[in-house]
Amino acid sequence: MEKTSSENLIKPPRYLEATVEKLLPYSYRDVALKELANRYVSPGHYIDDATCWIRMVFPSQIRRSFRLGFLLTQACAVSLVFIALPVSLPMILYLLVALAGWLICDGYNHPAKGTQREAVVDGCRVVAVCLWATPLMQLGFELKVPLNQLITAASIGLVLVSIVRTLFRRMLWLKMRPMKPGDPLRVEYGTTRTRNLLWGTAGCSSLVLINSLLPSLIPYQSILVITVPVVAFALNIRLQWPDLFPPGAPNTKDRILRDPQVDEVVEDRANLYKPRTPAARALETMAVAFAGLPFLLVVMDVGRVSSWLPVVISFTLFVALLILGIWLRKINQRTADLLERDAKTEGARKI
Amino acid sequence: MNKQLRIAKDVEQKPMSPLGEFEQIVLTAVVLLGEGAYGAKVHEKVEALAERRIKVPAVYVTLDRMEDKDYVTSKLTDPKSEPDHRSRRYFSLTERGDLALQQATATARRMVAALSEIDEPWSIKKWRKHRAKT
Repeated sequence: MEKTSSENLIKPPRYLEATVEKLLPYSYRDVALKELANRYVSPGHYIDDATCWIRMVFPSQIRRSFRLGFLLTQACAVSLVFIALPVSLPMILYLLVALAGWLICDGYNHPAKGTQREAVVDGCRVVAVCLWATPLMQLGFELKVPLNQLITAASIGLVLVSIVRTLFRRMLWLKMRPMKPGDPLRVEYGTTRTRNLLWGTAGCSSLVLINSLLPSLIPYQSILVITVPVVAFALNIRLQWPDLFPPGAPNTKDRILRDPQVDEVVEDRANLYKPRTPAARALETMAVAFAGLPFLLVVMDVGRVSSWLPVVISFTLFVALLILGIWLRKINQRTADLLERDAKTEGARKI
Repeated sequence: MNKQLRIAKDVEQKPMSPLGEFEQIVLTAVVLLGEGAYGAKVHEKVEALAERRIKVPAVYVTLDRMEDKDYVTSKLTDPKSEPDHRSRRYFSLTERGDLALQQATATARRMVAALSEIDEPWSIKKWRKHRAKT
């Protein structure tokens, strides 16, 4: 006879719970840890049960998250990162391994909502893939990639893959959990997020365009103008994530007792752009400063500018982007305040 | 609004796949439990219906799969309203799930009716045929 939830007084060891928590796909963590704690008899039995959970849940999650179109789009996006390299068998194998890794990650994170957080994490994974690829390609397969080219490719990959994965996952999420029609707060939240995404895309494209329009005045100018602002902005978004599960000793009990509806409101609020901490604000300023760096260089070295038209065009683009950004920031703040008020008054999932 | 309609239409147009044996048992358990169909209770009911031991994750995985197919729907409760202050996920049957279960039971009824028309148990008849051949 199985034990019921209230009568099991023996608790599993913390280290076991923490390990199992890390291994389980996140959507099953709460339920699995609860069930495992309820049925706990001994560490051996716990490991046996946990293995059963992982063995059954992982293939199911991978099957549920698998979309052929998504995988092919990702393959195209990742291939673009390595566009400068010649096509070869090791390269194809390498891409296949990267995609297989992604497939497992998707299963682990299913159902992903297509949030900005996921976009940043996915983008960072591409950069990690590029960095991992460098020694592999150069030492193992003697494919020489100039560092400058690799960094540019990595930043393009960061943007491209982030966009593909955000849009795709958002679509899947909407299909799985259709929005409540006519909920004005939900509509406003969705619109604000779409605007953020569009601004992000426009911003990254503009940085590339501005860099190509302006003359190169200092070494590694493309890295300073494109990569540094993108990375600073990504870190800025990372600093805005809610500290739901702070690092340190994992407190599984707290996690189980947490209200998932409140967590969801907190997470959704975090998807909006609102740099509140000084560090986030400093990173934001840094991103803007580095994006505007070429204009300062042009002013300092006027003699090397052959035509002023591209400078004027790119400066207009930069200012327009900045004004749009300030406007969007206000909208994000307003939507976040509305969400907060709604969560306080009704205390349940309303967005 | 158009997006909502498109999503709703998309859900309606999902092809209805026949239920497997385990899916039938899980859906039956959800129906029998009614309002109180949450994971652990469904598992208990499934074990009772199947008359064998069932792994707990198998029930959860099947429930999630059926939610993807739109056969069941789930909602999380407020943890404060639960006796152990833990949020529970309650499952209920959707119209599609009801239809799928009806189709499965109709097929089972037809099978029973067809088999009961035979004078002797069908397994003995099959065994005799097999012996005659060999």
